[in-house]
Parts: sequence; structure tokens; C-alpha cells
Amino acid sequence: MPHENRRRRVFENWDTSLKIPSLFLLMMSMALIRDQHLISLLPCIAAILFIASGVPLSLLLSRFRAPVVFLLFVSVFLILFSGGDTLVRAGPVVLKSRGAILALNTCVRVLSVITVGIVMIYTTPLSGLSGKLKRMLIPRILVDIGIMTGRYIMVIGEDYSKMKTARKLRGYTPRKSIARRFGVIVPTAATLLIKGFQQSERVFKAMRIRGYGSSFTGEDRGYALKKTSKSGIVMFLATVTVSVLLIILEITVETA
Amino acid sequence: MHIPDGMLPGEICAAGYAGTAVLTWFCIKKARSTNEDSTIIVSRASVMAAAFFVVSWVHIPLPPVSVHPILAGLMGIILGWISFPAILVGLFFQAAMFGHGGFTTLGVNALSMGGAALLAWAMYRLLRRKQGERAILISGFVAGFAGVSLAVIFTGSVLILTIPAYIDSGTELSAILAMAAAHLPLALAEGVFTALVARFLLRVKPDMLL
Repeated sequence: MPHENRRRRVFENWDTSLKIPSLFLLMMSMALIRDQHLISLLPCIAAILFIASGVPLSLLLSRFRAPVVFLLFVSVFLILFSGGDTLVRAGPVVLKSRGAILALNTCVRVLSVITVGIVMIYTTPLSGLSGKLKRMLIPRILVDIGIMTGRYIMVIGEDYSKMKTARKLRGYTPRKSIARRFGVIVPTAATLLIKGFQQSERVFKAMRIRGYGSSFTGEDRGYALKKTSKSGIVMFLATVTVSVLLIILEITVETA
Repeated sequence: MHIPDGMLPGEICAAGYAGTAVLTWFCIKKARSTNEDSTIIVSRASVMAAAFFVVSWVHIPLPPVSVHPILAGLMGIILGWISFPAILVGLFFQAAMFGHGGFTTLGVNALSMGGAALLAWAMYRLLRRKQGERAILISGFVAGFAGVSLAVIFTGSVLILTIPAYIDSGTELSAILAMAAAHLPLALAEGVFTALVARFLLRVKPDMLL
């Protein structure tokens, strides 16, 4: 466990403005790979990165749940409707070999890219992220919306549970009739939205009055003073090199 | 409904990002030209993006899968031009916090859902020329229904047409139609929901509707 924490700290201290572009480039280059031999490299790269990052395995497995359902449907579609030799025949259902290979390649690529994405997001500290995103040419208004959204996800969730409790205390019990359910859900949702709008306007104005968004804030000063570590630069260069190599190899194989 | 990472070729992902960047820039520019105060833009967009995120926790069983509301139509009629950047932010949170969608496919997902929201808003505006509750119920229903249907058709088309499989075009078209048909109950439910919420807002706080 202490080793994992130490490894994770190395990734967490990796300068965000180097980490996000390089890992994103790696994800894009992995998504580009279609050659079967090169695809077998992808889980190796993802595994090395995952082990080096110290992100818990349980977290990775829990995050695979949503895409695995999606992959299952895509795989079934590919295996049933792609061409190629017949692999298995069970009555009217015919499984095709070409589709099976394609489905396997797709699953390997998807899970590898997702692993890199998880490493990227779970080793990026939120503190000071807004300033760094603005420096990465993300429009300021988009960053502001992102910050306020993060705040309002919790607020809306809390307000909703309060309203549910209030409804229960007043003796409301959910009915089977869809029309009656709509009659309760609609005013609840609309009231939540109205309350949310009024509250967020007040909060954002208060944030601005306190200096949020000005060009000389604490987080920006901290960023300017913090030097990029050598290990961060090495990791950046290594990731970019692997990404570029993958792209070159894919192009070479494709044109050969 | 969300395309995960690694599903689409890199060039499609890059094109999706390019399209999203242009559309985001255009939508923000348009929103600023109609609304000078950025406080209103940010606060409205963030509340709706949070709602967009929260409703994805609500799972409606639709055997053999389960679907969740999208709110693309409702976002369109409340936010107008800002619905696109708000959906982009909501999708980012969904990808980051529980793996719905992905980072490389964020651009494509934003184009399909944000584009659906903008088109739903256009339909709503077209139908809402008449005043009164009946007009808002009809236009709200059309916006909610179109928001889901268009998003499903866009996503399904991108997904099926970019899979480098050896599948004939007839099967591809059938798959897209089957996907759309599977989401029909959700589209109807969201149409009714959007219509009723729009009527509620018209009665209580009409300035929230565009």
C-alpha cells in the first residue's frame, strides 16, 4: 500500500499541463490503432501505465462496468452480422470468425484506452485545475461552467433528497399510475431547476465579488511559482514518444 | 447512448473535437450577443449541466438493457445556444465520474447530443410562435421527443457507420432503426416530461423559457 501511494504521488505531482495533453495524445493514438498485431501492444502499455500510477484495481474494475455492457452489445452485433467463415452454428444463429476477431480487437482497444483515461482523471488533483485549464486554451466560460457544475451536482442531489423527505413526511406514497407519478415528478424537477437557477446566480456573483476570475488570483500565483519537475518532463517525453511511435507504426502497417 | 473511449477511430475522434470546438465557439458567441451578462450564462448552464449529469443516475429498465433520461430537449428550450457547451461539460463529468462515454469520444458525443439539443430548440421555436398553454405543450413535447430521437439516430449512425466491419448497408440501416425503436418509449416519456415542465415554467417563471 505505501508503494502504491508513493507511485500515485509521483503521478499526482506530474504537472497537469504536461500530463493531460500527453495522456490524451496517447489515448487518441491508441484509438487510431486497427492493426491486429499492434492492438496486442495496447493492453501492455495500459498495464504499465496503470501499475506505475498506483491507482487501485478495484476502482478500475468498477469503472469498467458501464462500457462492458456497451461492448457486449457491439460484440454480439459484430459476431452475428460480420462476414467471414462460420465459427459456430446453432440453429438460425451463425457466429462469424471475422466478426469474432473484430469484436475481440474492439474490446481490447476500448478497455486499454479507458484504463489510460482512468489514470489521467484519478491522478489529477482538482486544486488549481481551473487556472491550468485556462492556460491550456480551454475557454474561460467553459471552465467556469465546469466549476459551477461540479458544485451544483451536490447541491441538486441534496435538494432532491430534502424534497423527497418532505414529501414522505406529508404522507405521499408513490402510486403505480404513470400520470400521477408525472404529476409529482414534474413540479419537483421544475422547482429544483428554478431554485438552482436563483441560487447559482447569487453564488456566481458572490464568487466574482470575492475576486474569482481576476487575472491575479492565488491559484495562478501558485502555478507560476511551481517549477515543472524533471520526472514530469521525462514522463511527458516518454508518453509522447510512445504515442508518436504507435501512430507511425499504424501508418506503416496500413500502407505496407 | 454514449460512445465509450476506443470505440471510434482516432480520425473520427479528432474530427468530432474539431466540430465541437467550432460549435462551442459559435454558441458562446451567439449567447454573448443576446445576453451581455456572463453571470446568467454561467449560472444557467451550470445548473442544467448538473441536472443533465444527475438524471443519468436514473435508470429506466428497458429489457434487455436500461436507459436513462437525456434532457437534451429541455436543455435546448431553457438554454438555447448555451445548451451545447452545457451538454459538453455534463458529458465531461459523466465520463470522468462514472465512465459514461469517454474522453477521446467527448467531441463526437457532444456533437450528437448537443446538436440534438440545438435542433430540438429550433423545432420548439418554430412551433411556439402561437401563445398559450396548448402551444407550449405541443412545442415542449416535440422538443423533448426530438432531443432523444435525434441523439439516438446521430449516435447510432456514427457508431455503425464507423465500425470497419464487413456488414452490408441494409443490416447497418436496420441496426440504426432498431436502436431508435428501442429508445422510442424513452423519447415519448421525455416528450411528455419536457412538455409538462415547460408548462409549469410558463405558469411560475416564464422568463426561464426562451
